[in-house]
Amino acid sequence: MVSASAGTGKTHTMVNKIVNEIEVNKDHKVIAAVTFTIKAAQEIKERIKVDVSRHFIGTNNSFVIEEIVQPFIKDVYGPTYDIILSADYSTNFSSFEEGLEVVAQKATLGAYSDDKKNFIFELAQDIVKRSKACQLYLQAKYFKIYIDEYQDCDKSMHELFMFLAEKLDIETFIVGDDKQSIYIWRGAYPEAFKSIWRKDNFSKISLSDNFRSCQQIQNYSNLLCEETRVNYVETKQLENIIWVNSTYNTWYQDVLQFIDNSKTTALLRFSNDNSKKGAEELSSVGFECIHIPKIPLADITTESAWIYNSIAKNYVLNHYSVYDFISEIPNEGENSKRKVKIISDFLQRIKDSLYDSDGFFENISGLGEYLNYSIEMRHVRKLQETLKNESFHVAFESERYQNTSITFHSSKGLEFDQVIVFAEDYRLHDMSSIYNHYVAVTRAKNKLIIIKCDHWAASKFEANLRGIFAAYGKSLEDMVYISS
Amino acid sequence: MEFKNVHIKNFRNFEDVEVTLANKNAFFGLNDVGKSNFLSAFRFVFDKDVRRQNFFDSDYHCRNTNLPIEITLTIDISDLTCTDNQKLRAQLKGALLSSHQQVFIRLVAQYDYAELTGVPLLYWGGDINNLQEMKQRGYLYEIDYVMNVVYIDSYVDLQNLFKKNVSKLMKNDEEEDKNVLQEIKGVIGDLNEKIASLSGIKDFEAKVTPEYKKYRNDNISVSVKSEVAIKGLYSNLIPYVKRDDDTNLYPTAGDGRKKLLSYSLFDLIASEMSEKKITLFLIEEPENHLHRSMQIALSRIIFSDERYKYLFVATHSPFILYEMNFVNLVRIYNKTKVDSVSAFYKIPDAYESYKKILNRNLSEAIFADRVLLVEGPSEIMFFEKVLSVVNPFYEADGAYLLAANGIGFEKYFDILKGLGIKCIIKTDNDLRSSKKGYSVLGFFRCNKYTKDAKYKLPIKPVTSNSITDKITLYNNNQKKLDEIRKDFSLFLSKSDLENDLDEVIHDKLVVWLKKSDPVSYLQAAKHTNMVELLQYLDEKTCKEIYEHYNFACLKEVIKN
Repeated sequence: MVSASAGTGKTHTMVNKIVNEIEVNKDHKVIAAVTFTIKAAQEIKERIKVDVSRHFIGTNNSFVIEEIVQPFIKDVYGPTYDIILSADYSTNFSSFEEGLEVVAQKATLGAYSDDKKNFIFELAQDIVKRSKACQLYLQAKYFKIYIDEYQDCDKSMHELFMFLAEKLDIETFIVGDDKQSIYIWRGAYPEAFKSIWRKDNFSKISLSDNFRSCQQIQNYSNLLCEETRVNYVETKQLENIIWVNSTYNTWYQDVLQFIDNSKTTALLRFSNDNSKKGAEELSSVGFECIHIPKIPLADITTESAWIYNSIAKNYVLNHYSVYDFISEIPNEGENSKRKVKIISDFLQRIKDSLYDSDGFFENISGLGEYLNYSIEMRHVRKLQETLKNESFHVAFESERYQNTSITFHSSKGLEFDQVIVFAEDYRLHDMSSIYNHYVAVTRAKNKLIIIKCDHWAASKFEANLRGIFAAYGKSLEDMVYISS
Repeated sequence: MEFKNVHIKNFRNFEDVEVTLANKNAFFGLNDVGKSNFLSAFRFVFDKDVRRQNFFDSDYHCRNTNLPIEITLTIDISDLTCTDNQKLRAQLKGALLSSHQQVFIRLVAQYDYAELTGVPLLYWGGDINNLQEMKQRGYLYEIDYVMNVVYIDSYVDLQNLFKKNVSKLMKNDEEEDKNVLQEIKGVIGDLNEKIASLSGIKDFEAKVTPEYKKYRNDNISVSVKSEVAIKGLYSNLIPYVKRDDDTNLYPTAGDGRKKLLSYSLFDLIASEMSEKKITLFLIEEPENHLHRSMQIALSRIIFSDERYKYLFVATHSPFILYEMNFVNLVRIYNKTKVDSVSAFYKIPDAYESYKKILNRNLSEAIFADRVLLVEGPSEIMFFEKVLSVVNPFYEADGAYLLAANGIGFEKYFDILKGLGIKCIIKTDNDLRSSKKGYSVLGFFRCNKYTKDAKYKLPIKPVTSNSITDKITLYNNNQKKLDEIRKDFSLFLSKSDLENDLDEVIHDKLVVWLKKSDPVSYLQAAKHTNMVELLQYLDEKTCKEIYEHYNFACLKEVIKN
């Protein structure tokens, strides 16, 4: 278990470890590296420079669906479940039995209406506990399982991973940071991560050297949480964090004097609307800032989601070729010339038919059929919507823009030279809010600008922050430069 | 992991044949009965390079392309501690459920009349009635990530084998190699410069280019270089032999040496893969080019080295089987409608000390169709002489004589019978002294063998053990003994070889051996005196013996 604070290079550490262990391993066994988003999994895949085609690198959900649920559901629930399943989290129900019924009737893995409960992992847990064949399979195949962002695991994910580690005795490597737990609202259970910290059968390493943020920003973030306060290192610097007392009509003027135009800047907001508005306001005073919107495509949560995303990238990005598309096909390796040609033809036809709704759907369905992924009309519409509206296109190449405005939820794993946050977005009254703030401020390398306007939540923020610092014998003025 | 069974349908010689398997298997039989085809069946299932060639119509039994070719293997994977089973499980995934103890692997090739070829599809799983289609990536199937086939044909080409695998066998990827490789590159550059500066070379290059241009006026010139510069360092490496006490190098010229070195290379290649994959050795007639002693050395390796855990060997040579143990012997016979039988052979525990004799006798005998089991070497000498006169081709016709001395008939009998080889037994009517007179040992032996009340001979001990007693005992039970002869091919002597012979040609024995009691003379020094007798046996006498009731076992072994 590696407990890694923000900016300590945890993914880098994990990837290096994976590469090393794959190279050293002599037998037939492979590793599984799992994380939460397709994007994060893709990033791990890209960073690993050795052949991983035989290994599993993907999302938590795809791991349990492909390795536990799909192959072994019939072993536990009988031959009526010997069907090809697809996942669609928009199919909702309230009990496990109902969920199972949906599986049998519609061959669909749905989700509980209650966001905090996780049907797929409950099902996977039931299967892996009852199917001897499944247990033997996992033991025979994997010598190690790597789990990134463990603090975002919910209770049933945690129980499943602990079953694999402790009952099946598969070596498990966990990386996480409870301070970056920003998904508590949808069931994430940071207590799980802390509970492993107390286990004897896990060895623990704590990474606290932040390679991203300057000392002052590190100090600020370290004081937010009790366990990192020991990492506080006295510094005289004060110009890295600027507190701007301002108004809704002037903040975008006031902030400019603190921004270095040659460096990257991000405005991080809680809501998508505020993010959009903020970008417009900054741009209106000559500071070119691009809002990276939440795209309609992001609503697609089925296992076919990657197809729509990859089609979109192929459409929007000039450099994104058919080979990039093929590299994103989950668990797919070899490319025959024929296959490249077929997919390339499909992609061209899809591009050409964007404004012909029937043809567009037909072409995407054809590609889906060829690759064995189910395509749905409503998802094709979301893709069409995303592509037709050019303001969404920036979302596919956000790294091209020097100054961006995004929600802090989508800033995870990113870094910027300068970060602007709003005090009112974090009341700091509970851990969840503190964690959110922690994630936002630790995106900054050199400069953090906190805007405080006249808002009750902003006052709460100030009061609570002062309280947190006071507990360490510091005042707000010791920690930040206050500009009026 | 334990191979259990193979079922081949509509493939080459095999219309529909099912054979029990073990992890080590030896296939033998006459030429052209399909030993190689048996190995081919395994290669189509396990060897991606063979499989991708697809099937021709001639691969279908009697070109019956209406039916598919079907090859099904059964493998037991119930041992949870076996790492090879884990390798299979890791790939089988949900094709194997908790209740399954066995894995079935099936190849099916339906003939495609449009493409004029049969494309193999593979299936596997734990439920024979619900096998899953194996996933395919290019021409690789899932099984190819688990199994590694080492196919060794009878004429392995050492040079090619070495060239093909040189980069696998010699990995110069250490840090310090980088510099050395760089140096070699420099030296090769120098070498070619020196070559190019030779007057003869320059002269040749200057002459040949204009000659070429007469044919075709390309913008080229011809230049002579050492191959190593063009094809890389490894293209030019060749293994040489160096004697321990000699500094000279010798080419690996002899076929025998080449073959042994090839086997050493196969071993290395296999060990390289052994932890990632399961290696199956398919070996075709390894005896070619090898002297008897080398064959026996090879036999020891393939039957005792841990690396040859999964072995399928086709052979004509008993020497290859000399060291056999824990092996499934598969005899393939009948050219018209191929049939086969198999028997598992393990050296019996109590026979460790006789292992050599037992194995050697057996490995010769299993190549025959009919085996006459006799008591000892003097019987062998005598019967060989008679048979060679009556039918000089008896061995070619499939008859074989085997002396069971010291080991007992049943050790041979069980295996031979299991392989469908006809056994004819000739044994003595022995009596052995016991507390209650003399027990009828020969009769006991018969009873043990027939195991049937209908054929049961009386086992009451007799009072004395003279030859007359034995003959009387025989005559009193002759009716039953004749039935045993007929139904079991078990021929009990009236007394023993010498006395039975005496009954047929007493007068001739007296004259030839110049002894009034030839039986005592023959029995006094069985081996030497039998040799003396054999020189007198003429054709007429041999035929007389062959036709006599006492030696009817000979007719039985000749009978095809």
